[in-house]
Amino acid sequence: MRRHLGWIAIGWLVLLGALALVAYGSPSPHPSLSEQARSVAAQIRCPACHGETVEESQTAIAASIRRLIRSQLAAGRTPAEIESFLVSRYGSQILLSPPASGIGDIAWLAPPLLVVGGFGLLVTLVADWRRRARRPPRRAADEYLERVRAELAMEGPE
Amino acid sequence: MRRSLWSLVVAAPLVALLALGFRHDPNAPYLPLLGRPAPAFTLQTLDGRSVSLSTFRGRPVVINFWASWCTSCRVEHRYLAQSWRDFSPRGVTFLGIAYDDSVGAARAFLKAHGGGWVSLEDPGGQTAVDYGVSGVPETVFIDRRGIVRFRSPGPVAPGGAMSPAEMARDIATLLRSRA
Repeated sequence: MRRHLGWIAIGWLVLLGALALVAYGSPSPHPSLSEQARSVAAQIRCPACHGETVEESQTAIAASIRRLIRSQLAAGRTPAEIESFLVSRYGSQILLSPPASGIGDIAWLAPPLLVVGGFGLLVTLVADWRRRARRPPRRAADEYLERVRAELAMEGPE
Repeated sequence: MRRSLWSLVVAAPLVALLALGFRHDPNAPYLPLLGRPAPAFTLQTLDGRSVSLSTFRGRPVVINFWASWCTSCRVEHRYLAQSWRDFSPRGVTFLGIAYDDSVGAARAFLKAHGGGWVSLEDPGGQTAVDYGVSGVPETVFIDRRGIVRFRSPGPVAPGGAMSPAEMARDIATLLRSRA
């Protein structure tokens, strides 16, 4: 049982990761206009603030952008069309998630690469620990112990 | 030796990324409208008349987004007024767009501080968003063909986003543009 402990731990980690993806990755099937507007606004950086989205910010420009998002959604525009309009007015840094092109590629590729790299490191480490656990005690240690025993025997009890 | 080589392999790209990141200011305004057609609008003046940007095609237009509650706008106003006095006789149209303001407060501001150019209401700030405005004041300079040529993402004042001398130079460039 103890021999398989490492693999069981990895299995649990993978399972938890998959569950987290399912739990947070799937939106509700039919969001209302307000929900949709909120979710679009949560992806738009407030152009007059530091580290706040249009959804969170209380500034006048954030309110204006929220109003625009709502009216455009009501007019039948898709969230992607609204985001692309805002990028054409404010530049790509208006988007909270960097666009998947140019330098933005690194930001998108780095997390999965780090996860894969981390997983590979974990597998290598566990395999190494298991190999070490199975390895017989080193010979040098045996020789040393025998020499100690022999010397002790030579001295004899006093 | 191997370990230090590995450290170098890991650290070098990270340092390169950091260097790349430090090279640009994330808060620097990015102005995608420069060189592109100015978004069209039809808005009401503070007296209720309707004004369309398209009416001024063939003339340079200076659009100033402002508000009566904005202190930088107060500082900027005298430089705008000076520029309006210098350039409106030469065919430059000045338009004010009152952002997130009440008609009464905007009128009171103009009465107190002067300025003979037309000011427009922007209900809900939708024209401001259309021009990529982040806050007031902001000034947009449009050439005779209706293309956005210059922009001041902040007050036009000494030490501001654009100096009055730079504004005069930019408007002179607009006057030289072909219709």
